[in-house]
Amino acid sequence: MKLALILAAAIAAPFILHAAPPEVQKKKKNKRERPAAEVPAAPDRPAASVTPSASNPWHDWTASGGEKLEGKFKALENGILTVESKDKRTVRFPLARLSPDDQKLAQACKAAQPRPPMAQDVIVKAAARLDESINNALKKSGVAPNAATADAQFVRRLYLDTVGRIPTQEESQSFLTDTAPGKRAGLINTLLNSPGYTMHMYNWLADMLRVKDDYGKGAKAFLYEDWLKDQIAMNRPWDIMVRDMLTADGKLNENGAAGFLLRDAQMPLDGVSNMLTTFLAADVSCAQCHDHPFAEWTQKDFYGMAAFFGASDGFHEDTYRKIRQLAKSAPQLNKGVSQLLTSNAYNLVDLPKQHLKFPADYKYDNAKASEQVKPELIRWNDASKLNPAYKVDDVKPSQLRNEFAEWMTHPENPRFAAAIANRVWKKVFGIAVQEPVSDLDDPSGASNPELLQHIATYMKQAKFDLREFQRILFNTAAYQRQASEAPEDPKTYRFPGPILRRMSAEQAWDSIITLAAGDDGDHILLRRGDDLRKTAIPSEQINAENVQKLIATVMESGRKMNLGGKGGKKGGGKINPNAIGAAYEGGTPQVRAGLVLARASELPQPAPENHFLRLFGQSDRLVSDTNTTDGSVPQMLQLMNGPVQEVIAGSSTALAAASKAATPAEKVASLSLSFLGRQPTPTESEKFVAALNGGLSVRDVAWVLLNSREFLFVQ
Amino acid sequence: MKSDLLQFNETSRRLFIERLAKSTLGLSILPFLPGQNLRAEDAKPATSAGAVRGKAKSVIMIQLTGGLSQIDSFDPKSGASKGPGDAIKTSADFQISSFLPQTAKIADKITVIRSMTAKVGVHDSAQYLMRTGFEKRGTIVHPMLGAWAQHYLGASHETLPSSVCINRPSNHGNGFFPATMSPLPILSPEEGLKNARPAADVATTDKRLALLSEMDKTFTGKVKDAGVAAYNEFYQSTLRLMKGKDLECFDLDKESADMRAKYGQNRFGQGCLLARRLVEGGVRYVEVESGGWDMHKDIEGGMEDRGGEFDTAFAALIADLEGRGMLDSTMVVVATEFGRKPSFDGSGRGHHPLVFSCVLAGGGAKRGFIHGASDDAGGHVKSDPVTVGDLHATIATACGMPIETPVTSPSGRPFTVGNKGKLVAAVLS
Repeated sequence: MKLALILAAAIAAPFILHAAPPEVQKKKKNKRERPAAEVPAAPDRPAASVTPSASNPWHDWTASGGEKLEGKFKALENGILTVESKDKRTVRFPLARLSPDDQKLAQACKAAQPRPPMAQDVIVKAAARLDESINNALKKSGVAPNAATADAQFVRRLYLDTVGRIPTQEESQSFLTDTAPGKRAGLINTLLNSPGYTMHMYNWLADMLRVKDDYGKGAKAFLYEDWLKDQIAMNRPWDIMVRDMLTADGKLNENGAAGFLLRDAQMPLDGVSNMLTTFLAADVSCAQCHDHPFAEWTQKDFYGMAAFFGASDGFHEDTYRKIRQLAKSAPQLNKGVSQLLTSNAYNLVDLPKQHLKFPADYKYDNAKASEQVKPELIRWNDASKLNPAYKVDDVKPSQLRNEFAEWMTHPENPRFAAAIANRVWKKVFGIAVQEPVSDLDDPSGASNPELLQHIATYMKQAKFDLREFQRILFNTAAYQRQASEAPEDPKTYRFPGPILRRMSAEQAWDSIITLAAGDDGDHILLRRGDDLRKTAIPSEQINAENVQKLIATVMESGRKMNLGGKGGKKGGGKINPNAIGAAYEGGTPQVRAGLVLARASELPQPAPENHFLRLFGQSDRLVSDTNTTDGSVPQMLQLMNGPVQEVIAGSSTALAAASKAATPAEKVASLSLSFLGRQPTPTESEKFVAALNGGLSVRDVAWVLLNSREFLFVQ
Repeated sequence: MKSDLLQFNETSRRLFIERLAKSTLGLSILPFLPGQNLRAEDAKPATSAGAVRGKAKSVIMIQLTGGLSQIDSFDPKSGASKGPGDAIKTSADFQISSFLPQTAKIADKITVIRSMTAKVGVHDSAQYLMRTGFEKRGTIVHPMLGAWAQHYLGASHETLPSSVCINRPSNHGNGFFPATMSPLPILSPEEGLKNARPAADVATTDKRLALLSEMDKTFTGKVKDAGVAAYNEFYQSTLRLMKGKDLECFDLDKESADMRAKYGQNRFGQGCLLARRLVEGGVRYVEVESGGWDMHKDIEGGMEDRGGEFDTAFAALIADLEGRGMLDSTMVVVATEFGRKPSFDGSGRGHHPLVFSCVLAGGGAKRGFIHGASDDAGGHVKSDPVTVGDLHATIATACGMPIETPVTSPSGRPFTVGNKGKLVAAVLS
């Protein structure tokens, strides 16, 4: 193992940090190895309180509550420590919840790693290059760039765009009163390296990848969800992540990375269509059934691509039937059995033969109906003959997915870098350089084609490190300008600034959590895959006796399998805190007005119907990119009269701070900082103070601020 | 302009939504979406049938999830397929199962389609098909009829939502249309609309609102954004709803004990009553769900319980609508996932999509009419097959929607209401 950071060992103690056994990795070898993404070797270096030694890499990591886990340092990114335990399990833990000594140690381990982020001057130069392109386009079209943001606008926007929530009163205040010249760049760095970044990125990915707890009949995708969070927490590059997802083998309850393809195991053609649309911005959904009416896609192209997945099988009907039979024969277990075992029917394997055929009603003369499809990569133009990404030299059925993944995630793939760069740009600016992000088939459709090229190039230069790429974008002058109204035609938008947006459902919820409990939520992490892992049983061992044993094992762990609770018909969007509670690390979220006060990423995926998150537009995760920011009457009712009022008005951090303030004016200022990240204007202050003196309470002022348009919008 | 609105892509979607938000609230009159209170006759549906369409101003869609056994309800059989109930006479010239005695009394007001047919025999997919008229895909979500109607005909009321679904969450709702077209879910008819009552007293609420309006003036004065403006309107609309009489539409306490008893003191019965109140108030499309129809075991017990609840509520609803003079303008649809097998598996029957029954009543549907037939065993369509798409196209036509004009989804794909299903002109009067 390359990890040379050596730490003194201590006595092994029982640990509560929930560990996961090693991922079942794809056994096949990737022929064209690219630089490994994992943390490279670190030089020996003295660390805080422990002396590393070459002979012993182990350390007893101690949580602030005293629990210990023996493991070796793997990564410290975004305020989350990742260690590998002795039995090679990957474990994540919030840095802030480690003992002070071990926090220092983790920092030291990280400092010893030779893979530093891009140097600030490189970032600044790249940002300047993008600004130049934007400024030229603005000049050409005679549009003036927007004025620079005031610090108060900037700090609130940056928190929402990086860590997915509003800043706390203290966080705003500390930035606003900071007089250091480079404080904006400094804050960007701090926030991109904090746990909220993982949560915010996860929400963004979950919408894109349609992440869902439940794959049907009790099959759970918890391990996939944990895996995705691990990837972001370790800041693994996008190309590696995607490659791992496309080449993973194994069961839904064994290998997290397999969860991506298993999501569409019962509709594999739809799965291919989704994958091409998401990762390559190639909108092929039409070509699935007929030649694309406008773009160059033919149905044959689609089938040629789909054939790379034609030797893979994900859903095993026979196993599923066996589980159903067992459930029927053991009525005392009944539903529980299906819940426990169905994940076993989701198993990604490669068959000896590629079996995809053209449909029986295929109507074009470039192939025969019902004929076996030959795997073929789409060539957008003749240049692809010379393109190294197209080097396909092994089409054995067992290698098809690997070949496809190599091609798709290759830096020279004509689409892969541009597609993700364009998507991240949209995340940061509110509108993509080319809309929609799911379709780059017509390159002339970009509002600024040169800009699109630039960002694709920077994406490659950043080696698909999405965090570094975002660091560039946040450092542009364009991002730091005031927001514009959304344009009617996105093609005409020249980026005089980002666009004004309503908070996403997750940003709104996470901001309310912040008002209620400060930054607590950032350090409470949900992990539900470990129990699921225990349910992996070989098909031939599925019988009543083994199921009884399994139930005993799962019960012993003290947690319930059906974590998270359902969006029950009468549940009113509530999540059962008893069911989900034991799965948190770093702390237990508060429960107020029946709501679990954890970050959106650390709640069931998606949240139950009627939960605040869903009312505010969280996707139901059936189709990619369907989070919305549309308004609705139930939304307004929720904000005005719903349980979130109780969450905020109860013993919330924001109200407690305001109540402590001495004078009415100070109370108003405190609330304004908490909710809006700024001081009240003199007029506002006057009006609110008058209201307080006229019989309204601090709680009433909080009600007004929460319901104000300004609260919900990101300026 | 028309094509512009029909072809919204993902990026112009936001603006589209903002415009819609306005039309939802009846603030602006759009060329193609003329806001609320559009009389359906004016829509001039593009059907080739030529008959008078658009009688249905509202639709109450009853969804029996799990799969209603056609033989034990609207298509009774003799011989080996016969269920535990007998065929009984009705007020029309056809028979139905003895599990539906109340329905038999109002049979002269309904059309039974006995030749429904589909391919999907899995609950989730079949439910999706019946709600949207489309097969379930992983790449797009299709809208349900209420959303199509809102798209074509505009909002049905100034403050009330255009679509409501009772006893179920709002999934399979607006589909690819904006969220403003999503149905408002009422999970418990007794509770009505949640969070509709201000937590604070009237005086405090008024003071809060005054302060809020001051505060927002500054922000919205500074920020000229259509999205913010749309939100302002949502607030106004919500306040109107909270303060106005319309809220009473959601309140079953406003009904007499006698009326509540007529519909049956259960979730489904009260849901049907709530549906009637909402339609009366101006909601165009209301879906009421009744679960528990998946009778793999004990058809007899199931039909006595679930069937009894349905029978009471459905008959009460039809009679109530008729009594109020609303039946001609309200189309009541009884829909389900699929039928059940003619053969028995123990005391129950398995899934059977090949042939099943649906019912239409009011809103221009014929009275006392049978359309199509199953074969003697009740296992196949014998004549006049009707697909789920056909059923949707027929309801859509009854509402005055054009069924042949495609709409382009945000992802650029063309779709029509009912997925190119054919109008079953024979069932409309």
